[in-house]
Amino acid sequence: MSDKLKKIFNACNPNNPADEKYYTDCRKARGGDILARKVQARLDYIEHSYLRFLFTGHIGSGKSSELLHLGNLLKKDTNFFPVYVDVRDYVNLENVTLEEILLAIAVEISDAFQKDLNITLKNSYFEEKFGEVKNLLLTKRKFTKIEVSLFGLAKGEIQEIKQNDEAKRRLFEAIAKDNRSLLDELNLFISKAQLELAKSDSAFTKIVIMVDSLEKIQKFEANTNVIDSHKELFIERNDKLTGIEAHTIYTVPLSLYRSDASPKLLHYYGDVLPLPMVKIFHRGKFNSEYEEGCKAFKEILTKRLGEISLTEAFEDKALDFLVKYSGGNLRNLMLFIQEAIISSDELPINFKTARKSIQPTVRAYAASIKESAYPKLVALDENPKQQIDTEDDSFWTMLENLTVMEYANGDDTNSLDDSWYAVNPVVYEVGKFQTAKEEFQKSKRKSKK
Amino acid sequence: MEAKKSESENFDEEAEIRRLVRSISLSEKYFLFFASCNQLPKQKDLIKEVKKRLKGKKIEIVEFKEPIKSLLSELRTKIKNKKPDAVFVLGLRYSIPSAKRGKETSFIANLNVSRDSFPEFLECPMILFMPEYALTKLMNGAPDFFSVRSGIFFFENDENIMSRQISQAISLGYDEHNALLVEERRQRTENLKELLAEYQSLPENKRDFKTEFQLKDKLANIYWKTANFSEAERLRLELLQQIEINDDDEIARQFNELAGVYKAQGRYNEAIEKLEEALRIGEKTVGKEHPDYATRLSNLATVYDFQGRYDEAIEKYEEALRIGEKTVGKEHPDYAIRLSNLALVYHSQGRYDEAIEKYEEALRIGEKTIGKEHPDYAVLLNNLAGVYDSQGRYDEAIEKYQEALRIGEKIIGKEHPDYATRLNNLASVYEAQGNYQAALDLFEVALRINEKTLPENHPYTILLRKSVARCRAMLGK
Repeated sequence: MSDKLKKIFNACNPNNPADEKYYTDCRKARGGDILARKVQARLDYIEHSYLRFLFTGHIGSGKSSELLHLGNLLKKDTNFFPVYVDVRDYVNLENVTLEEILLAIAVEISDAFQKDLNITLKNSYFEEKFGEVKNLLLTKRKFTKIEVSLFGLAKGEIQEIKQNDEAKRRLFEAIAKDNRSLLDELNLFISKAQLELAKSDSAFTKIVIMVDSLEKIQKFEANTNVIDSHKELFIERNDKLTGIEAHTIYTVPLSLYRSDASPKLLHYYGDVLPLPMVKIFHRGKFNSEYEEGCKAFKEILTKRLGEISLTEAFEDKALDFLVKYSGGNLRNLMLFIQEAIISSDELPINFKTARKSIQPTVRAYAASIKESAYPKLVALDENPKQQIDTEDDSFWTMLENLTVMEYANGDDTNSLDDSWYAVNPVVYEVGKFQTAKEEFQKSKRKSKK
Repeated sequence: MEAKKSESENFDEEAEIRRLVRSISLSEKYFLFFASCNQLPKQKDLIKEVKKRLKGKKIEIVEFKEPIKSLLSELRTKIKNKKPDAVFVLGLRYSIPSAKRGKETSFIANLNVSRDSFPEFLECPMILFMPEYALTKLMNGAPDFFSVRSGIFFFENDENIMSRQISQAISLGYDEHNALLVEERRQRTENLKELLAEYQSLPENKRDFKTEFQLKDKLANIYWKTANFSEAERLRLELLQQIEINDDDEIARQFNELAGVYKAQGRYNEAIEKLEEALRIGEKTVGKEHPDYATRLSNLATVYDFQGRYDEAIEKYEEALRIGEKTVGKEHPDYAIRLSNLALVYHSQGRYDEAIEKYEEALRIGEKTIGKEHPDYAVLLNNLAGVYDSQGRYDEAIEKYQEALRIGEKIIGKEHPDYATRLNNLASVYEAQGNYQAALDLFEVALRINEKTLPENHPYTILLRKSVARCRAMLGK
């Protein structure tokens, strides 16, 4: 087996987290700076209240990259000071409490002020609470130059608490026995921070907190399953998440957004944005390539493959095929390449192998699509506006498992809400879809007569 | 009618095994793979084969025998400090019930959100084996987990096990065609075709549509039994068109027959659709407490069994048994057939003791109703032997197989594919015991019979050729 095959296979690891060095700007192809434009448009109008904004999307679709990008934009030329919180650094996803999320926010605010603005925020409440566990942390490391003290501990030390059951217990006890509420204290701390912001010589006046990875929580407080956990955190306890006195953006699970809880989410938070796919073809024209999108995908691939060039790895026709059938989902593209490598002994990957590589996925969809869904899928495919009946629950599952994909027109038009849908290209290969399509066209011809 | 494109046609077993082996050799870290295979015993055989080809690799097999809540936490304790090169997981079917009531199990939801945590403690590929229905459930219920896969492998139902089931399905519904040899069947087919053509060529006013219908029905049946499924399907669809509008019983019967054709082709979802339709009609016309209703339920259960949807299969068989007991009583060959079908499911699930219990009851009923010298009795013995075989109780397995062979020889003769299947089963036990010479002798006889009696390159024949080659290799020939 050639080393190169192995390298390509491993370079397409779908578990690789969003790595900066592979980062490619897909925004234009996705419909522009969709998150940033929406958030900024809202921020511009808000004067006496706080922004509440939910952000969702498929795993690996690039939510974190979009959030980080938004942060950079805000930092560059707005009055809004971004604080990015990845809760994974502070919680064990299999067992999360609200306290941990609030603490994580406080720590990241403190850290961002220190790093970006060189402002040290003091707070006796948090210092006292973290002081309770100081002696329990295993690595009593000396602070290095960059590791400054936040509330009396280094950031790295605070992040260790999540793995230290004893420290966690003591910290929670200390918070619980106090009459002061953690949320109130956090808000006081935020007020102080906003004040410092206004006093500083920077242009910033308001904090925007972006909390990432909330959608990955598996168990929240006393709940026994994931669905209840998500409902509890985002809906039952919405008063906590919406009670933070700063602009906030949270990531929310797609499954919750695509469930009957959706109206409630909109009610409490006002806005939910699902991240669209990268456009690979033009709206309603599967055979008309959207150059920007294809280019972006090939660029990502080039970066991932490193020293192996695209022409060395793929015949042109094969690569075009794989990109097209990914439907604008990067993970699908990676999957198809891996499937192709598993079935091939030589490079470049040829067209025949490329075609074969999508077959297992075709079969999986053929088995999963309900009989009753085919006419709906054909109707979507034949609809020049590429719209679905969003009231029809059966689309929730199909949007979630990517039978149907969501795109945004974005920069092409001035409308912000101009999303459209398409059948996953893989579904075109399913026999029953083809039959349903033929029947549709037959009946259309008949009615014309 | 144009042949429908089937998604399952492209998956050749040897190619899939090779792809699976390759995927493990290619993986330098954690990667997730799915292997779809409906039959539990076959899953184990496949893993054995993959292990053999990956000599020197440390393979960890984790098998669950009951529902679990979280795969992540189970694996954490089971894999701890082991540092394997690959992990195979079996038995997730218990956590992914096929019945509708298990709509959203916490297991599936847990899987979906825990997808990021696997690479944190597993540094090698993980291959999850499950029946195809479970894969679909995962795809719908845990789309994020499903989306981080690096490949899926599809393994079709094993012909060997299939042959056991088909031979059972056909022989137990014993009719005149079963006793015919290939040549005789071919002649019968020709005769029916000619006769039908003659009837059809009569002037319109003299045609006898009733007889034509019956001839076609017979022809469809023989096509089905000779594995000419496309012709069988074509005729059944024509028959459906010709039924008089208000003849609901006949429609239901045709749906049932059509389902049999689909089932034999592995088009399980279509088979289920037709059977459900037949049951719906039957409920209206004869009601639920009727032997026909029980038969169709039992057929539906068999399809579920083929799909690996064991809990639903058991449920339907049990209902069919209950209806059977009320309508025709326990001392009836049909009751024995269903007991034996239920036992087959238990066998697939590895519930050997329960399977044996059911077979013993079926044999007792069989002895009283059809007698010991009946081909169906031989099938029951053959299946019971299969359980002993799976348990490693080889001496008992051999004893039962030999008895089944003796009965079969008397009735269907030595030149019959069913006889070859039983020879094959017996030979497999010899092979498992390491008695390669005895195994080879029987495999060769079976191969010779199949080459003579079955169409060229029939799957069973190919399987037997492989077995012969394997034994020869073991004997250094």
